[in-house]
Amino acid sequence: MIVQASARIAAALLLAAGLPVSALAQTPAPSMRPAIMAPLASHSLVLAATRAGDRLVAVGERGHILLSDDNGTTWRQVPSPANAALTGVTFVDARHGWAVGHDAVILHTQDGGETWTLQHAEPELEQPLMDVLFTDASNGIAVGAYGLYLETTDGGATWTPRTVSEDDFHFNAVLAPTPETRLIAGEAGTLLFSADAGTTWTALESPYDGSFFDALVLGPQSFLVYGLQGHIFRTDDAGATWTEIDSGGTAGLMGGAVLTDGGVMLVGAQGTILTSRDGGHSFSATRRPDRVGLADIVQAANGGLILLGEAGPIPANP
Amino acid sequence: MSQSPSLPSRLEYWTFRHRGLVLVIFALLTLFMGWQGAKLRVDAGFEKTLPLEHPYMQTFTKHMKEFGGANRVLVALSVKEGDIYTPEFMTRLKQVTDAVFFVPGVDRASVTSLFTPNVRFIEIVEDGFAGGNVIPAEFQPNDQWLPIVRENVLKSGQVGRLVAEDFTAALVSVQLVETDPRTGEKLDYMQVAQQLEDIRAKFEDERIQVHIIGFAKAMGDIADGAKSVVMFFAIAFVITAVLVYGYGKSWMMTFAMLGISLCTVIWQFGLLVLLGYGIDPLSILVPFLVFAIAISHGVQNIGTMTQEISKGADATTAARISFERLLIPGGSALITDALAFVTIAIIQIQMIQELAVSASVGMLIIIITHLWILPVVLSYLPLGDKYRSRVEGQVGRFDKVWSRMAIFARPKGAIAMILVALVVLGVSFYEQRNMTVGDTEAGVPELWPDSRYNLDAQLIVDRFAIGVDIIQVIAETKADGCIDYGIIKQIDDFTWAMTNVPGVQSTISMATAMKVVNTGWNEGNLNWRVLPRNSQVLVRTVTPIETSTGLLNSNCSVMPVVIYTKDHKAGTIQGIVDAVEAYNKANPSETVQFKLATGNVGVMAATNEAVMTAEKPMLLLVYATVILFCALTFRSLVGSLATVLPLIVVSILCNAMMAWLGIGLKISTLPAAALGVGIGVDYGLYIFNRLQSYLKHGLSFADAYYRTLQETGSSVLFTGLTLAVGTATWIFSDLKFQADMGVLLTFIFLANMIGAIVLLPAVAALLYKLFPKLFEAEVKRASKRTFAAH
Repeated sequence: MIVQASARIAAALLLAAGLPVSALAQTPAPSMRPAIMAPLASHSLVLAATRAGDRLVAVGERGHILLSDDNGTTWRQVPSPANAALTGVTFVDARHGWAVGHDAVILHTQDGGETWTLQHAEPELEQPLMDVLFTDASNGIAVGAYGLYLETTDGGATWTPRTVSEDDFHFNAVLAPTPETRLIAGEAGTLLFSADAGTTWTALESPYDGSFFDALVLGPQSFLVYGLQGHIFRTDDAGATWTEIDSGGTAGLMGGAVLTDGGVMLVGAQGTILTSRDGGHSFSATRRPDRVGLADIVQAANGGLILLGEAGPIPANP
Repeated sequence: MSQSPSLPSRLEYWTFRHRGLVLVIFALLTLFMGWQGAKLRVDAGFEKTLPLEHPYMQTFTKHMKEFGGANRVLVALSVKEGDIYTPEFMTRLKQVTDAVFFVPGVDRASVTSLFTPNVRFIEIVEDGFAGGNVIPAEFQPNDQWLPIVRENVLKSGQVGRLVAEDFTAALVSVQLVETDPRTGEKLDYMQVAQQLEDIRAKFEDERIQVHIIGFAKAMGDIADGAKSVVMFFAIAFVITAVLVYGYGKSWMMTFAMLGISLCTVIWQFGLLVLLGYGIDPLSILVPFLVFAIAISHGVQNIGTMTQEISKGADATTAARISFERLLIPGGSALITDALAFVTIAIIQIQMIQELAVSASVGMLIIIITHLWILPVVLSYLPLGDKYRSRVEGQVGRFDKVWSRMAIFARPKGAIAMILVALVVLGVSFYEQRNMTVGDTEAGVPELWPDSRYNLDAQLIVDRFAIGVDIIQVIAETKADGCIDYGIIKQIDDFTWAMTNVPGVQSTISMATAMKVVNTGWNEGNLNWRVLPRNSQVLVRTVTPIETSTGLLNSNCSVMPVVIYTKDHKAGTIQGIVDAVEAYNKANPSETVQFKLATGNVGVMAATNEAVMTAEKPMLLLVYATVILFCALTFRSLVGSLATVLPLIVVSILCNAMMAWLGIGLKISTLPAAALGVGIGVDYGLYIFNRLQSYLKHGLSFADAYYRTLQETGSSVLFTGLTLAVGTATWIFSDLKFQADMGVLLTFIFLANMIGAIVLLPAVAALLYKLFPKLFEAEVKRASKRTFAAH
C-alpha cells in the first residue's frame, strides 16, 4: 500500500474526466463539531505555536490545541469547539489569545488557552484563515485564502471582512513591524504594506512571483519574506528594495523565528532547518535525518527551541 | 451386542478360517496404498487456512481481486555498512526485482520496488507539481545518478515504506495469486519458497543480505522444519520397539505389531491421496498421531497375547481370544475417536476440515489393521513353550503395585482422589483464563524466535515503518464517494480514530493521500494538509491517485483504510477489531460502511474468532460423542461418566498448560486438544470394559478393579509411557510449534493415562457407592447381555 501521486493530471480516474460535479448528490457535510480528544494529538501535524506567558500553545490539524507548561517537554490536548485544522495562533498576554484556521474559524481564550470559544466560522465560504495578528486585546487582523481579510476592534466580538487587494491571492502571513506598520505576505509574490495600522494598504513591488509562506520582522524597517522553492528575500528599507538570500536548497520554507540571542531560524519541507548567526544576512542549512515536514519553530521560556510539523511539536536538537 | 453368536465371535470364526486369504488381500491392498501414498505431496495453501464463512472473509473475498489478498511476499535487501546509495546495492536491487518478477504465482502488476515504474515521486514547483519515476529509465548505477535517486526517494515519501528509515535497506513487495487465472492451476508454495530461497542464495553476500518474509516463505520454512518429523518418527519408532519388547518379551511380536502400525500409516497416506488431499506442513503431526494411537491398540493385543499364552494357550488361540476380546472396546474406542475428530470439522476452515477427515480416516484404518489384521498376523507367530516360560513370571510382576492402586476403587481412596481431581480442576479452570486465541508472539510462532525467518521479520519491522502486519478496513460507499466531502471526511475521521488505537503502528487511507495531494496543489504548504469541502477541488486531489495505490477502486466507491499493526498477537488484533466495531456503533452512517477486514491481520482476526466460537461447541460435541459411545458400549451411565469426567479434567488442565507455556489456541494447536481426548478414550474404554466384565461375575468393585489392572492396567500404563516418550523427543524439533505440541501431547498422554487408571475407578466407585441401586441394575443388565450372547 504505497501512495503514489503522479503529476499526470488526466490520470486513470474516470471521475475526473469532465464530471458534472453540480449533478452529484452531496452528502450533507458534517457541520462544525468539537475537536476530538485523541491520545496521539501531540504526535500529529501542528502548524503554529506561540508563547502565552511561560506556557507554549500549539495548534494543528483536526482543531487540535496543545499546551505545554514545561517548555515543550510534555504536551496536553485541551478541548476546542471546532475540528477544523488550525493554522495560526497569537497571544497578547499570558491569558488572552486567538487561534484561526480552516472553515474561517476564529477561536478565543481568556484563560491562557485552557478553554476556547468560537468567535467566527464560515465553512461555506471555503476560504481558510492562515494567520492572525493582535497588537492589543482589542485590535486584530486575520488573513487567509483568496484575499480573505477580517478585522476587529472589539477583541473579536465582531469580525468585519474587507477587501484589501485587487487580486484574490492567498494571504499567508500578517505581521506588525512597528505599532503603526503592518505587513502581509502571500501567494504569487503578494506583499502588502500598511503605514497606518491596517487602515489603508498598498502593494509593494515584489522581488519574486512565487509564493511567500511566511515573513519575519528583524527590525522596524527590516523584514525577511520566504517561501516556495526555498526563496528568501530581505529588505532593510521597509520593502522599497529587496535582496535575495541563498537558502542552500529548494525545499519550501514554512515558518521561522527570531531568537532571544539574535539568531534567526527558518524551517520548512523535508526537515529543512536554516540558521543565521548574523542577524538574518546569511543562513546555513541542515536537514533532519527523519526528513519530517516542518511548519514553524518557537522558542520556549527557557530558551529551548521547539519545531512544529508533521510529527507534532518536537524539541530541536541544538 | 447382537444375537448369538455375537458379532465378534462370528467375525473371529470367519477370519481365522480364512486367515491366509485375509493376509494376502491385506498385503495387496497395502501395496496399492503404498503406491498411491508415494504420490503424497506437501501441500500448503493460503486460501484453505481462511475461515470463508466468517463475515470478515466475505468482505475479504469480495474485494480480493481489486485490493489484493493478504498473501504478500516481502524481499528486503540490507547493507551491513553504509547506506543503499551505492552502485553495488542498486545493481543488486534491480537484479532482485527482476528475479522476483519471475517467481511463480507473482502478480506481476503488484511488484513494487524502487525500480518498478509504479513508484513515482512528486515535486512542488512554481506552477504546480512535477514528478516522475523515482529511478528513471535512463538510470545508471554511478555517481551522477545516485544523488538524484537519493533526492527522488525523499520526494516520493517512500522512506519507511520501500526504503528503510535509516536508508540501510530497501524492499521488493509482491502479491501472490494462488490460482493461475489462465490455467486454473493451483500455486505450489513449496516451489515458490524454493525459488525465493534460490534468490537469496544467488544475491546474498558478505555486504548485502537478503531477507524474505511472507506466507509462502513461512510455509516453505515450516515444511523444511517438518521434515524433521521423519527423524523424530524414527527415534520414536526405535524407542517404542525397545519398550514393546520389554513389555511383550518377544521381538517377533514387537516387529509384527510395529510393522502393522507402519502399514496403518501407509494406508493413511494412500487414502489421503485417494481423497485428493496433500499433507499440510501444519498438520504433519496427524500421521504421527495415527501411528501413536495404532501402537496403543497394538499394545493391548500384545498384552492379551502374553497373558493368554502364559495361562497355557497357544499363539493361535491367544490371538483369537485377543481378537474377540478387543474388538468391541477397541472398535468403539476407535469409532469414538473418529467421530470426535470429525467434530473438529465444525470449524469452517478447509485446512482444519481436511485434518479432521484425515485423522478420522486414520482411526477407521486402525480398526482394520490392529483389531482385525494384527491378531491374524500374531496367530502365525511360533510362540511356544519357550516363550511361555519366559513370560510366566512376568504377568504377576506388577501385582503389588496394582493392589496398592486398588485403593482408589474403595470409598475412602475414591473420595481422596476425587478431591485431588477437583483441586486440579479448580486451579486449571482459573488458570485457563490466560489462554489466548491466536498468536502469543511476534513473528511466525510456528518457527523458533531465532529462526532465519523470524529474524528477517524482525529486521524488516525494525527498519521500516510499515511492518508486515496489515489489517484493512474496507470503506464501502456510493460511486464517486471520494469527491463527496461528507463521505471522505468520515473516512478521514475513521482513519484518525484507528491511528490512535493501541497496537496500531501507522495508517493510510484515501483521505490521507488526498490531503497530501491537496498540500501539493497548494505549493506544499502544510497549512493545506486538509480535505477541501469543495467537490471540484476534491476532484483535483483525487486525480493523481491511481487505483494501483490500492487506496480506491475504479469508481471510488470502495476505499480501504490500511492499518499497519505493531504485531499480530491475539490481544493486539482483538483490541483493533473491538475499536473498529465500537467506532461503527458510536458513529452510525448511512453513507459509509466500514467493513472488517482484509490483510493478513484481518484474516487472523477472522480465524481467531472462528476458532474461538468453535472451541466450546467442538469440545461439547466431542464429549457428547464419547458419552454416547460409552453408553452404547457399556449400557452404563456410570461407565460413561467415569470415562468422560477424567477427560474433561485433563482437557481443562491442558488449557491451563497452554496458558502457562504461552501457547495460543490456533489452527495448528486446536487439533491437539481433540486428539488428546481421542487417546484418553481408548484407555477409559479398555479399562471400563474389563471392569464391567469382572463386575458381572459378581466380584466386589475393588476386587474387579484389581483384576482389571492386572489384566489391562500394565498395557495402559505402558502405552501412556511409550507415547509420551515418543512425543517428548519433539522438544528438540526445528519447529517451535512441534516442540510445543510435543510438550502438550506428552502431557496429555500421561495425564490421560493417570486419569484412566486412578480417576476413572474413583468416579465409578463413588457413584456406585452413592447409588447402590444403580450398581445392581447396571451389573444385572451387563450380565444379561453376556448370557444372551453365549
